[in-house]
Parts: sequence; structure tokens; C-alpha cells
Amino acid sequence: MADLTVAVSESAFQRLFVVLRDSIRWEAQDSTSFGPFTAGYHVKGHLEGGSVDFRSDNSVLIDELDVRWDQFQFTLGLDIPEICVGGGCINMPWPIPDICLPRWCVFSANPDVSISPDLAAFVAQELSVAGRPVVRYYDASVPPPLIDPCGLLRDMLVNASVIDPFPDHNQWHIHLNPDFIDLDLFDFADIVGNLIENALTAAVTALLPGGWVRNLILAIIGGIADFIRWLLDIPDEIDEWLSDLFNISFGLGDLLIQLVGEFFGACVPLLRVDDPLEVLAKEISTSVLLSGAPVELVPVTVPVRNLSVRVDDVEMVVQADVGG
Amino acid sequence: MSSNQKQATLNRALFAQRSFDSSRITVLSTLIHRFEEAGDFEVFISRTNRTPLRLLITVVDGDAPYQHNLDLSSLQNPKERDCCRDGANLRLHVGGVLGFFTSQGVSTFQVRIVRLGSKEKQVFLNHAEQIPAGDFFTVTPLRPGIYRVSDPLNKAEMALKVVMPPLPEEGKVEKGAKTKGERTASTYRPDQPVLVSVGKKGFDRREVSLLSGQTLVFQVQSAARLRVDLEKEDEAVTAPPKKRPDKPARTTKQT
Amino acid sequence: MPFTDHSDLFGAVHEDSINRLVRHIMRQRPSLFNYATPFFHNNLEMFCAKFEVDDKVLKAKNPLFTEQEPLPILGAPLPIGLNFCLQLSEAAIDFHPGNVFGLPPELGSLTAQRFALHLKGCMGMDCPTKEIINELLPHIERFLVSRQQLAAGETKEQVAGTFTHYTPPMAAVDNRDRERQRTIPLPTRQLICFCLELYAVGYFEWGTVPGSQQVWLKPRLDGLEIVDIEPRDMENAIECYLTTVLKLGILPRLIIPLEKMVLDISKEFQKMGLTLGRTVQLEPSAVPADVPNNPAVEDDQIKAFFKLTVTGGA
Repeated sequence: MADLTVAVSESAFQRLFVVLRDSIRWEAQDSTSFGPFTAGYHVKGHLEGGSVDFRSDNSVLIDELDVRWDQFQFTLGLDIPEICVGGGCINMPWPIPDICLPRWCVFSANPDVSISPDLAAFVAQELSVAGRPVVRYYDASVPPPLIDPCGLLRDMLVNASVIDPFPDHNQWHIHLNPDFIDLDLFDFADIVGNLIENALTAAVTALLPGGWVRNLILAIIGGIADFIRWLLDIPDEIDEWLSDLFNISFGLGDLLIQLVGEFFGACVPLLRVDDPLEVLAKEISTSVLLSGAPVELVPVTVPVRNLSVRVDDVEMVVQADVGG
Repeated sequence: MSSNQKQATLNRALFAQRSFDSSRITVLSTLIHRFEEAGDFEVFISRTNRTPLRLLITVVDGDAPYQHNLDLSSLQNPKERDCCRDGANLRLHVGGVLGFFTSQGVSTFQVRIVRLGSKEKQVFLNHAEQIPAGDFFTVTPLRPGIYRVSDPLNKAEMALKVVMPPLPEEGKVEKGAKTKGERTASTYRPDQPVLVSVGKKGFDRREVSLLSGQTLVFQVQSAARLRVDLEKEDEAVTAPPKKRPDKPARTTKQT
Repeated sequence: MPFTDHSDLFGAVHEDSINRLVRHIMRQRPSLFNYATPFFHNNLEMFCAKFEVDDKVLKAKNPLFTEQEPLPILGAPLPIGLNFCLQLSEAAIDFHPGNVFGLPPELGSLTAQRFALHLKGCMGMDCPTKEIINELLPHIERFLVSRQQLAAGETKEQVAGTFTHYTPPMAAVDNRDRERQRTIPLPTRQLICFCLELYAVGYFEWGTVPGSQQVWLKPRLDGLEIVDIEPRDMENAIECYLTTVLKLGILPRLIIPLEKMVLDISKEFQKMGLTLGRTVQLEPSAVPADVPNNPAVEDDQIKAFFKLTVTGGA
């Protein structure tokens, strides 16, 4: 029989899950420069739905948790290149060198255009995670591996005060090792492409005067929609381009999966237990000696042995032995 | 949805230009002088009602560029009390050219080039009077219509037709037809100048047609004084779709 | 059967772990369990009960016992006393069923939902030899006469005062406290040691406190026995006194209101930077509505049952 036993019922986890799910909200923003244009996002979101299920194979399933976006503002800024007339060179017969002609540019400076549509209504994601609790022993005397895939994430989380740094003493670590993480990547509807294209067209058109001057400029820049696609290096489908932008360039999709996986997996323990565990802190006592001279009493610690975690279909049980 | 844009002023002078005269440099026109001999030259650039700016040009038969294009509107204005404030000194290779143009505004400029070192000041260029043989004058008309090109010194005349380039059909981009980073073939690029020579026998052709924004280059073979005037404005004149011209092989630095 | 059959959170601690924990504390913080005069610093072998000390205590040069003044010799005109030591040498707990130690017959066997406590204390006291007493006595008498402190009243004879030739060891007198009068222990050659063993049986119950609106968890004493003190009546008297002290003096101070056993999980999350929209609390399961006993003392363990309550918000 174990010295210490703590058990939490599935029902308690489920109720706590609902409260946590309803309480978690997040906000993030970032922007990246891609040369001729900048793209950024400002997102706010929350969670809905989903369930927690303890399974008899020692695993926990968080199923069909919906990621809902209250705001999904996408900002696209264009640095429109010079629109100029004239220019070019005349090939002259030898010995006269080729003569190159000046250009006259339509605008005094390169105009910038930016749009910030809110795409919240067009984005929806779902997360399912299954993992099993795993106990690992952290031996502080063992140097970290040369290639430490967790180091970067841990350092990032430590710097952000999300987790405490790993200590200089041994610890038991309880991880939730993911069996699978199923997270929908960003997938924007077709309508988003039109939305952005129209917004950009309107923004660029607003720069131009009317009449024949506008026609001339459009002739030079080759049509606004075509021009913008060329400028942004967008292939045919803006919605696909946008999905790639968020999933790969911004790395939000991959980052979410990576974070969930590494956070709950090998890198970041859910629970840490010091070994040995301090039961009485070190103390400076002035009552041990008759003289009243202060004495620093060493802390009282007990070793923790055989820490284990298991899950069945009704509860999660953590057990350990102390002393020994 | 929100959008915003940085303020960029439209270069309105470009669209107001209706005529060109080789005796005055305005936007969309360029005077190009060719230096055939080595030596030191003084260039006086006069702006309407202002003290002229003086530049020194050293033409050498050695390591020097073959061309400088001077944007006269960006050259600093000399102070009123100075007679001829020194501007930048330029070096040019023998046979090289100096282009004068103004990129913006409605000011007009006149250029006079004299040679230094000889007892008598030898005026090489005073385009207010005429453009010497061997020089070039360019115009880049934007307004579509029919222009009259004339040279009273050579008693020459020519018609210039400026048409709008074909407008791309918006929203008709074929999916899958576009390769990443490549613009469509229908894009018009105005950097293909047309060369016309003018000599004692007049212009080498009777009529020239340009797309709006294209440049007409006059190669002066006999001293000339050129004028290009819009006679009949026609905004509806539009050219048929044209294949995208190739990108020019080289560009030059504009000073 | 699942641990959380009748609760949301279950916690249990085995008696072996508590007893092991006590032994660790004894080894690493010996000054909590051993009290003695400074004389014992150089005479550890004279402690009545030998005790183990962890290496880190020795490395840190922590005192092995808490220093005490010598036991004063009452009536002596000089501040002299006797070296002594007092030790709690054993402490153990036994949750039902009893199997860690045997209870004395007076307490019977350990019944359901009861726990037993066993403490063993030892005391050692110096007994000065005849030679020392004979050597000191003339000096004491002369001192009393010189100070006119006799029971017979003042004498006409004037006797000059004197000091004993006995000089206490330096360890007994702290130089920094030279000005403070310390009791000077007499030279010690041997101790007279004795040990007493105390057994107590207790249990937990939930109850009310007059005037309070909530229920309280109360530790209760079933019985107490000190082994082998003679005469019998003295043993009874001491046991009765200790029982009364425990029941009326100490245990009433240890009752715990329910509110102190409620863990506000919402606040814990708030400390981590997450504000929950609702109040989430862990509170002890109710007796007997939820579970028959809480805490339950059974299977050699003490077990606690909690329920999770979510209130407020949506």
C-alpha cells in the first residue's frame, strides 16, 4: 500500500474543465514584413464545447473543443512601387553610347495602402487531444543533452514567467504525454479571398484620380486585382494563400500543435515534486543555545519514492512513498 | 473593415502638360547634350526669375561615366546675393552625355554650357536659341490626342499621335495561368522610347504614333528648335492590346 | 473499488509514512527532541537514549540538543545546579487496525475509527557524589554564616566570606554572558536515567460549537496510560491530570472549523493569472450525508474526502 494517495474523479475533472474552458480567453498580435508588403494579425478568442473523458487505457481525451474567434483582424499593408512613365534606353550606333532616359513618376512618394478586415466570422477550428500521464525523474546532476528540443520552449516559458525554471535538485515530473493532437489548421472560406481583394482594390483605387489619368495608371500597373496579386505574390486563391500565411508564415497553426504537444508532453511537466521533499524549512534559531546565539538549522527533507500516476475510466490516482 | 493609406501627392504637372519646346525644359521633356571633346565646362542652369546655378563638368578620356541625368527640380536653389553658386562637380567620359530634365513642378529651365580654359568663352549649348547637332531632345506626352511637331530652323513638321495603352480587363485573371512573381503579359510598360531624327531635310518620317507615357526622342542632326503642341485632344483613343515589351537591358542613375 | 466512489477528491496518508517522517525529523532536527545542559556537548554518550543524527546536521554543526540551564539546587545560597537531559526518544502513531505497537491492557484494543499515539520520554539527572557534597558543604555553611542567612537568626560572630575552589568548565559559562548570572552545574560523573512511556487513544468527530454557525472537526481523547509508575495512585493521579489537561486545555484548541478546510480553487487560479468566471471550491465531504467518516481512520491510513462545488456565474 502506498504511503500517500491522492485521487481525483473524472466527474470533478469534467466540472473543472467546463469552468476552465469558459474562463480561458486569449489575445495575440504580431506582424511580419514580406518585402513589398506587411501582414499582421490581432486575434481574440475563446473556447466552446468539448468534453473530457477518462479512459480505461490510462489516457485522458479532450474531445472536440471548439476554438472560437471573437476577433480575427488581418492587416495587410502594401508598399506600392513607383508608377512611372518615360524611361528606357536608346541603342545608339557606335561610338555613341546608349542613352538612357529619365522617368517621371505619378506620385511624389511610394504610396502605402493597408486594410484590416475582421475575418472572425470565417474562421473556425476544433481541437482534440488525447494523452496519458507519464512520470519522469529529473536528475539535476545529469547535464542536459547536446540537442535539447525542449530547451528553447522551456526557456521561452520561463522568460515569460509561465513556468518556474528547472531547479538544481532532483524532482519527480508528471507529464501528460500526447497520443495525438488533432487541431484544424487555419482554413479560410472562399468568400474571404473576395473580401480581401475587394478591400485592397478599393484602397488602391482611392489613391488614383479619375478620367484618362486613372486609365493610364491602371494601364501601367496592369489592373488592380492583377497588380495586387503580383505584388503580394498571391497565387490564384487568396483564401489558400491566407491559410498558408497563418499556418506557415505566421506559424500559428503549427505553433499551436507544437506548443500543445511539447507543453503537455516531454518538455513541460504538469506537476513537479521535489525529491527530497522539504518538510521543515531551514531556520535561524536563537533558542537552541543558552547564549541566544543564532544557529542556522538545516532543512528537514524526506525522500520521495515510487511516484506513480494512473488513469482509469473513473478517476486519476497519484501515489507515492516517502521516507525509506 | 478598415483601410488607410499614406499620403502621396499626385504629380499633377505631368497631366497638365500640353506642349513642349526645346528652348525650355519642363516636366516630360529632356535635353541631352553630348560632349565630344575632353575639357572643363561650365554649366549654367537658369530657372525662371532665379539666379542661375553653376556646375563644373570635367570631360576626360578616362575612367568616368558616360551619362549623367540631372533632375533640375532637385538641384538646390542658389542664394539671391550670389552670382553663380557652385553646384556639384561632375566627371564625364569623352563622348558621354548629360541629360537635363525636371521631375516635377511647373518651372521651366534653360541651360547654357561654355568651355573653360580658352581666352574666348566658347558657348557649346544655349538651347534657348537652338539645339546643336549631335544633341537630343525628348518628350513624353501623356495626354492622348494629335500633336503637331515642328522645327522652324529646319522648316520641318510631323504629326504625333498619342493613344491610350490598352486597359487590362479587371477581374479576368485566369486561375492557374499565373506563375508566382510574374506579371501578366497584358501589362503595359512605357519604357520603350521611339527615336526620330531631325536634320536639314526635316524629320525622318511624317507621322509617329506613341502610347501615352512612351518617350519620343529627337536625334538632332542639324541645329534645331523643336516644338510639340497638342492640337486635338482625344481621350477615347485607345490602342489595341499589345504584347508586353521586354524589360530593358539597363537603367541609368538619375542625379 | 475506486477511491473517489463517494467523493470528488480523495487523499490518504499511511501510518508508516507518518512514523517514517517523524524519524526523519528526529534525525535531522534533533534539537526538537533532545534537551540538556551544555555539559552534554562533550558527553554525548551520557544521554539516556542514544539517538541517530543525519550527516548534514553534523556537517552544518547544528546543535544536537537544545541547551537548558542546570536543574537548580533549591535553597542553595550560590547559583549551583545539576546537569540533566530530557529526551523524547520515540513517537509513533497507529491507525486502526492496531499493528504498529501494542497498547497497554488498560486501554484495551484499538477499535474502529480510532488512532493510537505512543510517546517514550527519558530523563537523566546528575546525582552528586558524597565527596563533592562533603567538599562543598563547609563552604556553603561558611558563606551562609558570613552573610548572616541562617534560620537561627543573626550571630554575633563575624565570619569572613569565602568562595568555593570549584571552577565551572568554560563551556558552562558563556564569555559573552559573563555578566549574566548562570547556574553553575556541579561536576557530573554519572546520570540516573529513567524512561516513561505514554499511550493515548483518540478519534475525530464533527460537531458544533455553541454560538457558531458551522461544523467543526474535533480531535478527541479516548484514554491515556502511563506505563509502570508506582505507586498506583500516583500513576492514576498523573494520568488523570494529563487527561484533563489534554481534554480541557490542549485538544479544544485544536478544533478546526469547516471554513478552514475549504480550498478556494478560484483563488489558486487567480494567483496563476487566470480569473475563473465562477467560484470553484474543494470542501470536505459531509458526514454522514456523503461519507460515513471524514476523516476516516481505517486500513492503517487516515483518509480525507472532498467534494468540488461550482457556484455563481453562468
